[in-house]
Amino acid sequence: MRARAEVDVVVIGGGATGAGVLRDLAMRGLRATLVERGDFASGTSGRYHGLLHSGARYVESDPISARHCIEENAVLRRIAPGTIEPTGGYFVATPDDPDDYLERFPAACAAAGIDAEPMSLDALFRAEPLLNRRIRAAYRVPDAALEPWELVDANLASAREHGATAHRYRPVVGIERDAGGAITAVHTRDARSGEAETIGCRAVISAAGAWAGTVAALAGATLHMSPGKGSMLILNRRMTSAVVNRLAPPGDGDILVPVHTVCILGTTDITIEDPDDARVTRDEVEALLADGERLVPGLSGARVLRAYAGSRPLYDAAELDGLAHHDESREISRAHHVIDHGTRDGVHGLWSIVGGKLTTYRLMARDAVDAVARALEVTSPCRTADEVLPEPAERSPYWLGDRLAALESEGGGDADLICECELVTRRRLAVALDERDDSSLDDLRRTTRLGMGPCQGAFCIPRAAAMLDERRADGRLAPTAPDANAALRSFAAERFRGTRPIAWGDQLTELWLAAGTFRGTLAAESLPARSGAADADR
Amino acid sequence: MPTADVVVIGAGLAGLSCAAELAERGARVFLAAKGMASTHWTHGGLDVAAPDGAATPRAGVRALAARAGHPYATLDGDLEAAVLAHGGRLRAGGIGLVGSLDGSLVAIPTAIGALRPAGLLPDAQAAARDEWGHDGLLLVGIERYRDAWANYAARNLAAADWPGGPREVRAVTVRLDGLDRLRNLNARSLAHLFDDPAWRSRALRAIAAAIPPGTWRIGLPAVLGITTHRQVLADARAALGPGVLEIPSLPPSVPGMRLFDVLREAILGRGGRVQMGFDVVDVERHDRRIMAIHTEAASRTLRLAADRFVLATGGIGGEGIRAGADGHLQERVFGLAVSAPHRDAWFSDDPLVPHPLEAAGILTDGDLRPLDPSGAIALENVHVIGSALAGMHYLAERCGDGVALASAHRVAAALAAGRIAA
Amino acid sequence: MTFHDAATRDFPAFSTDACIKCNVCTTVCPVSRVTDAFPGPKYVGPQAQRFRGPSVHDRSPDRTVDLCSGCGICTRACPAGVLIAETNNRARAAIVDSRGTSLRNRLISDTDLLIRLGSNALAPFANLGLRNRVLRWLAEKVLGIHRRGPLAPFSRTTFRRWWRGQGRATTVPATPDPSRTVVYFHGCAVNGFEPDLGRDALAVLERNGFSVIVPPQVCCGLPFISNGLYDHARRKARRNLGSLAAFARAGYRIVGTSTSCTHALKAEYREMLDLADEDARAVADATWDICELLVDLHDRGELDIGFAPIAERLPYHPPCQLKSHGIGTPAMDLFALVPGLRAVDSDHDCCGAAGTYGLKKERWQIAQDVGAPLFATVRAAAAAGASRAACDSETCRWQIEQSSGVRTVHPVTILAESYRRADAAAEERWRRVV
Repeated sequence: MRARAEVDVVVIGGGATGAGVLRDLAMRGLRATLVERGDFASGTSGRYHGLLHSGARYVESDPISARHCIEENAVLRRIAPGTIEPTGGYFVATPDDPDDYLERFPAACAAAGIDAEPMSLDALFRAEPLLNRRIRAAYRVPDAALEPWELVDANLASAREHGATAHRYRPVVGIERDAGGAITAVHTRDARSGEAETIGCRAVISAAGAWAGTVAALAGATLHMSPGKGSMLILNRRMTSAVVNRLAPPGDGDILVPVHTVCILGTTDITIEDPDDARVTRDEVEALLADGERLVPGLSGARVLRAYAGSRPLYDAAELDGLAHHDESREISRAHHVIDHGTRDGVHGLWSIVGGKLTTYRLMARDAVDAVARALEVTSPCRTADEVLPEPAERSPYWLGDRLAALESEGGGDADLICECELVTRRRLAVALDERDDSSLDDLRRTTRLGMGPCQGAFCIPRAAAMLDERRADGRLAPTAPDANAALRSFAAERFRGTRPIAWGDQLTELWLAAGTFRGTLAAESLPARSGAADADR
Repeated sequence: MPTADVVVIGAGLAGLSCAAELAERGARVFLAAKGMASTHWTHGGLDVAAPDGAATPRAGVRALAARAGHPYATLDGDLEAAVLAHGGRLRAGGIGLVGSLDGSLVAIPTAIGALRPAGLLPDAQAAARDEWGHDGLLLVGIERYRDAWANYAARNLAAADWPGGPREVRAVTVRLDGLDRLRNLNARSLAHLFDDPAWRSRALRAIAAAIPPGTWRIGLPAVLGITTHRQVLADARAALGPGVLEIPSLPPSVPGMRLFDVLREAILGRGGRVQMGFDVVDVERHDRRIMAIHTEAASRTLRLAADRFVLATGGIGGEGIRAGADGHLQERVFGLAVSAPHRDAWFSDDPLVPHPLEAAGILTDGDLRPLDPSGAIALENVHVIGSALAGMHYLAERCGDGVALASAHRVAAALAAGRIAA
Repeated sequence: MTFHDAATRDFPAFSTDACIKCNVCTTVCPVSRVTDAFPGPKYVGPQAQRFRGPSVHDRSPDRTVDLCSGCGICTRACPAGVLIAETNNRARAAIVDSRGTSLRNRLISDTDLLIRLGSNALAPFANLGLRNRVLRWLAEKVLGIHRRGPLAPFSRTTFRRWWRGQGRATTVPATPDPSRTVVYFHGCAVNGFEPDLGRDALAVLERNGFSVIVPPQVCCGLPFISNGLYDHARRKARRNLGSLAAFARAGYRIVGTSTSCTHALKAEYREMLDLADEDARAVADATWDICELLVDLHDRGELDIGFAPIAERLPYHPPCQLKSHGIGTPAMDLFALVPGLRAVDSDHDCCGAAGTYGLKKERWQIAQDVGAPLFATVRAAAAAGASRAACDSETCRWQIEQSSGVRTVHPVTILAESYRRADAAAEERWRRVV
């Protein structure tokens, strides 16, 4: 055991909620640190559909969530404009959607305070020519696209400005309590160096989402999460310029979100036991495509780049109340709950924040920090809705053409493209390498979009691995960094995992082109397990 | 439109070689291709056969021929003549082909510093095959060129298990004239620069100045010219020593572009026709015969009639075979049945190991005519060559080029000799 | 329209979905071969397309796509079927829509206007102007038209004026026979600069038993399309469709001597201008390049093959626009019917002119460098005895002629000459008999 840091609060989980909690704590003057088992925003926050909800999706099924969403929607547009693309959204009634829902929808939106403006079909099809011409009604709502990685980064940056710290690849291995059951410290182990660290603290906020049950168990509390697997498909182009939702109770394949260069078709919902078991099945892919056809006829013939899944942090309140178990995870409230494990389980100083959604992350953070602040007798109020987040979130709203326009005016060698599909330049990657001290190409992907385009890394993986190797050799990367060959292999494997469920048509051809390069020309399968540089270090 | 004896569809190694041989044998041949493909994507060497454990290409072929359903099971007899003819065509176009079916398979370095087995190589890559003795390997990177990774490759090769390999491996990165203002410099632009004698001599001088003392073979990115490659290679060897060797990297493949140009010239030079951008959109079929194909045009389709059609459109990689979202695999031009593993068994978990789906393809009779699922000949005047053939793991077995040449030769020779009854 | 319908030739940008990034297009681009300023077809095409909005009215992030000459070689080389050059053209239109374009580009695109101004009794003066170094220098400084840009001299009278002066048909004849009557789309080149080519085409068509109608028509609009001025092009297109559609629907074939104009009628009205109505379909289906029509006639055994020998070996350059027709090289098939004539396919990609591209001050050198290998081939052929070169597209002919110094003619001019020689020989024989 090495250093023993001392803070007021340890935050477990580096998704949007954890980052928001850390920021809120720090802004209220509490000493706080955050630990995340993997990369920041690599769990549910980084694996959602990219929608900033208006709340209209939940006006009937979950009015509390709906109200939360519309309120936070306005807050985020104010404090994090740079993470948002104000696409707007439509709710459309296809012939398969129920009449009664359509009839109740406007009133339900009004009740929730959501501005749902009826649209003529003419105007709808002019704006979105690819939509199903059999759509019979449409409402415009203030949905938008939201970039989760930048949002999390900005929250962490703000928290750091207020004196907090955040650590990734730092899984919690134990939570220490005193004789009275109160938490005194959190034990972590660096996933890359293996170094153990203990952080002394007065309180712990578990923002581990779908993994909150595991964290609670480490402290001796019980918490039954009911993770809902949500699978999504990434299409190679924007089918629509605004978000499109089905005017129906929440169901599979009911939403299309334009995000960056692509659009996301979502989302299935399947209750799973293990939140890490987020494999996309062929049945899910087929169901998504079939439902997507109802929105955009012919969509299943379009290029699908990838499939991925996230685990919703659903918390089965009914079950804990001793009520009947729900089979369908969608019926469980999406609204969030702050659980005080002191009153509930006798584990004093532990709070779990569960449920909720990315759109309401700030509200969730506020409620959790309110509870902890009360217990720690801190009276300063929450100011997270008042202060604008720092770069990159403070910049102007995202425009699809940003990267290309910037590149067209750049010059010189650093403007060379390493990832051609997503226009990631040598400069951008070098900056990311410097800032993040990363050695995982998948982590670099989150902040740069490396390898996220149609070729899924066929060209950029060896280029980026070579850059990583150069920095490794220069001593500019931490000594714990795995070597470039491992980075190359694991990123190739990671990209392949997402391609495999949708490997047909052009994307299968692409996979074969990549195989021809990696195995035929480069013989990557026969690379030494560790590069010479790594050997030299030992 | 001109009527042809044979229409060859596809412009990869198989289609080009088949059309060239048909033209050489006096047939009126028309090659129609949707676009360029495999030549421009691959390393430009000649992968005949290198399954695990094979010491020579011929031994590899023998091992593969023994596998049921492998194309070599019926084509191994065609290989020798095919490789000979191919070498002749390359020589005529200024590219030497070094090595033989009976030479050893030797480990040669790749652009990321892994090793791959090679038997037959173009002259420019062949120095990697020679005994290393006391020679070192100096990898040369070019500043601003993003697809040569000399340092990374050198570190990997230094750590690699490379029996009989070089004395040592080192890397230098050189700054070449006029590249500062270029963006996204690719292999083709560099090759064009090397084709320019004045630029070339400055570049070679700069590279020569960067060579440390000692005996070195110089590993350069595979960019030593396109139109004047032979001269570029000669100049490079004069300036940097006889051990200059090209190391191919990501597409576009300059060695492959040379191959394409040489074979295309071979066809045109014998009166054959080559048309790119001719995507087949319709076929005229009478019972089990194809009467004509129709290619896409600005308004009406273009009709190409012939006695025989050679399908050289490639496998999944060349888009000769396409998979639908439902997992159904179909051959694109004639709608032929594709033999493939069950969809649940298409892939391995690791992307860098062979996938069962790679062996998907079209089953044929001994004359390479396609079979329907019942085993009957599906089309009597169509012959399938190259990667569209079922039963090979072309990457793991490194046999794609050999199968392409052998199948092309089998069909061209038989058609020209009138040996296959219509 | 469904996504499936949209992902066809009519909507080039949708075809970019099929790009597998393989770089074949970057290996064939003649522009990126000669200039570092153009990042190449993959970059400005399918790659950049993912960063553009779906409509030409969306704000454009582009700059370098404007250097694409539109030759279309990338489209034909692409193994995945991506309509790269077509996508680029639309992206250029979006630039023009977002940020406007120069007076120069508007002027050189408006060939109807230029012909009105130049092809008249004052043509000799206009032509003096075109040859006057000072005026060309001034045009370069003021307008940005390169002083050595290939401009053909105006003809003293337009083809249309000549045709009307002959009292010839502009409407359906009294006894319509669509199988033996064709509509001639002369295009601006024949109308204002090369009326002799029009007369050669008439002679060849009439010799093969066709009656010819020349209905009212304006510029096909291609120069506007190439310069991203889609609204202007659409106005031209609508006028042409209005005049030609009735003929097309009645079964008449529309024949042109400019592979550029005929390609606009066949494809670009749909692919670029979104004119996908029945009129546009009918006209596209009815349009033929003249050599394509003659080869079709020959395939049916109906072409008069009484060609007199022309003992000559001449270089032939199939222009990019012809290649985009997807009909091969019909002129080569026709040349093969002329005894003694040995045409040699130049086997070069592009002459560089690309319509108005090679005229522009800032593009002229690129166009020259692109065409340099072709010019060298043509000059070598001339040195070996060829009196001229042949090429189906006018701006390419002018570029080759100006840059190689070798006279360059349309294939039909050679066929017409051969027929005339045959007539002369027959007359000679007749006279001797008499």
